[in-house]
Amino acid sequence: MSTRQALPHPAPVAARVVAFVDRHLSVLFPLPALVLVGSLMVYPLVYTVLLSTRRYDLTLRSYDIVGLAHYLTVFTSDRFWNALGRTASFTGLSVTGSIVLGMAMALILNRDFRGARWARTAFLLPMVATPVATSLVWMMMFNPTLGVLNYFLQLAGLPPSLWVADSRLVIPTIVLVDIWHFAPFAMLILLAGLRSLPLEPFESAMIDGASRFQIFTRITLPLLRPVLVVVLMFRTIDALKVFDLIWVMTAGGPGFDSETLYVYAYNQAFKYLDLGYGSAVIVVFTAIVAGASIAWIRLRARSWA
Amino acid sequence: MTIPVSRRKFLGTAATLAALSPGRTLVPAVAAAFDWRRYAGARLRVVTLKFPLSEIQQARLADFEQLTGIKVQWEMLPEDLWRQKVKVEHLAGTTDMDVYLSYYAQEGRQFFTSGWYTDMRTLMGNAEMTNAEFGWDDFLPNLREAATIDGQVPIIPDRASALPILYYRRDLFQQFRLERPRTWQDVRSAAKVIYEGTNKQVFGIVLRGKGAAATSMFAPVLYDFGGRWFDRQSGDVAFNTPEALAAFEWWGSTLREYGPPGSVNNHWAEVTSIFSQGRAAMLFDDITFITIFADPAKSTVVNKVGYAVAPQGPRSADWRSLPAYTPGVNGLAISGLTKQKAPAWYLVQYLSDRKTSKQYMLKGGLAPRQSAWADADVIKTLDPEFLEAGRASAQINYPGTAPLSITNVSKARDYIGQVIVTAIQGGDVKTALNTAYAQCAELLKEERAKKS
Repeated sequence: MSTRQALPHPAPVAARVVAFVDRHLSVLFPLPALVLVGSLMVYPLVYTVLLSTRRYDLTLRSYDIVGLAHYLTVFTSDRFWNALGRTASFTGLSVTGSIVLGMAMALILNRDFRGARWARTAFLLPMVATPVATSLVWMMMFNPTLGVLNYFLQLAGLPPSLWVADSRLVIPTIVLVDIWHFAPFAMLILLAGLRSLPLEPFESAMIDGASRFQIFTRITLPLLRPVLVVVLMFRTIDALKVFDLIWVMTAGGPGFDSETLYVYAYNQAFKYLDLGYGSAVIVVFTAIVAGASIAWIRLRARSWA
Repeated sequence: MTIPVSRRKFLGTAATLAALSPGRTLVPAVAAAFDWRRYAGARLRVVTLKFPLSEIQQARLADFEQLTGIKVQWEMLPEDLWRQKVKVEHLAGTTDMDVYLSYYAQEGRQFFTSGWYTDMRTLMGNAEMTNAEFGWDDFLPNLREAATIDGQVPIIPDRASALPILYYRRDLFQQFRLERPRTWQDVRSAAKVIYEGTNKQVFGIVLRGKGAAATSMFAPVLYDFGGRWFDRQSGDVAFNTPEALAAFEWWGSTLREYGPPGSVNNHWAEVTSIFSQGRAAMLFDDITFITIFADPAKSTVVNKVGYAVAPQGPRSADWRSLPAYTPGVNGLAISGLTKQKAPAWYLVQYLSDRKTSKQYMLKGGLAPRQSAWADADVIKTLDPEFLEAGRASAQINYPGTAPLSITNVSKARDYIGQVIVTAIQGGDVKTALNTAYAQCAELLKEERAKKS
């Protein structure tokens, strides 16, 4: 190695250090990264798992080990299952909505027209805005009495809506904001994908007289599949983990009607100060997110095979 | 530098006074000797709630910094965030939050047992640490009693109490020839008359509806109807009665029929903004908000608001004169984890002085100090109806936000909040009430089992 040549007369100790480094390069070089990942990711995860086996209740100041009892409570709690259901419907609606909308925007922007650059920048704006700030603005628009959205509904001759104050509408309404926020992200990746597609299949399809719809479903979508899987994966993880939007807009309300898993875990740990139980919920939640990610990664590997 | 001059002037005055009254001791001179600059250079961090009183305190920080040489970082947050932050920072063992606003009735017990408070009684007793003008005796006697917990003073009261009063629109009441409401039935009828009379342009009443956040204002209604959170003797949860059901239904149906749509998301910030924009004829909420309604920059109802002590229900006589259930004291506290207890105490005593009290009173708050209540400017400036409502309210010991035999008040409030939400939405209140009752009873049982 060149290190040795750079130090022509090494002192005996230094020489030994250099020799040691040389022999263990493969371990030493990734070490800083490993330490970082270990301390920032593995340690908190292990700690959370350990915490979930204790009764770590700051209200009652009790810290006994309870084993898996918290998990039993988690799986028998109605509030947990309701939260899980809400998380699932939120994720389903938000992922589908943002990808469909993102795809539409990408298809529009994939054409070169005057002002395309400006349009691209404008479409990206929601993504760069701070979620907490935009949530507050949306809340003002959703306000049933003073908000602008009900004004528009009435202009269109429709009855006013309660939006986030309606138990049945609260999740779809927050999904609406989430889609507004994340569709540009989907658009960005899909647009990059569209740009990278080869031109030949499209040309021959056109020569063969395929309709636009046929070209889209038979050529664009299949070719775009690897990119779509990536977007699906990112969007699913994002949607499962949603917290800021819900916390700012409804804090899980009305009642518990928009309490997703993350909000549920947060309430248990930080509102009720039951860190043990809250950790158990988080562990279950982490398992769900990890499961979803692995599923998508597998799908992606297959789509490239 | 202006401080040495003013101090010298003060010393001079004190000396003259002492010379003129030979029979008196040198108390003013001792007071003047209090060394405000002892901790110059210290930096303090305060986490508080964004509400009128903390704005008064914030305005005085520049003077404090100049007087003491202590720098203050003042963080004012919306209610939910403030509550979370104070809790989470203590949980995380943060030592750089020196002073925070605390509501004892809500999380005080938890904080107290966790060692998150500093006892200020010992600091007060130390003449080197406490300006003689501070005057603990000036605080209202019932507040001093409430603030003393197991012989310690964890919080210096900043207001007489968290008191709900009824705000009503004098102009509308006059227009519809309505009397100032004295009972909850009056409130409901007036709400109907105004809501229908204005062709639904003005809501009859606005009340909190955001689940847990509504329980504090709902509590007096519950008790007035003959319900109660818990049994005083046994501590058992006791709100599963027909009387309690009637109270929940009153709250829910009044809001649903004559209140703004979407009430289930309304906390105090929302209800006060609806009322201050002239969209509602009545509001039953904390007395502090008079400051918002009297401010022309924030309110379109300046000089149109009348005040009444909490209206009564069929069973008000049963509880309104009873002694307090629990200390309901609110105010600044010094974190038990901070290493800067001494400079923090300097800040707390400065912000809890007579001047703050008087300013707060002039802005319509109920000051914790007797001197502010007796102040000539206060009596001259404030609306007599407001002073009357305030005095009458200060004599009621409100029953607290949830069954106070339960330690985990946040959880209990969430359960009870569900009943309020159901009532507003017009759902099955009885089932919701029974569920919440069962959940609270179970919670209490668990807590008792863990404690024993």
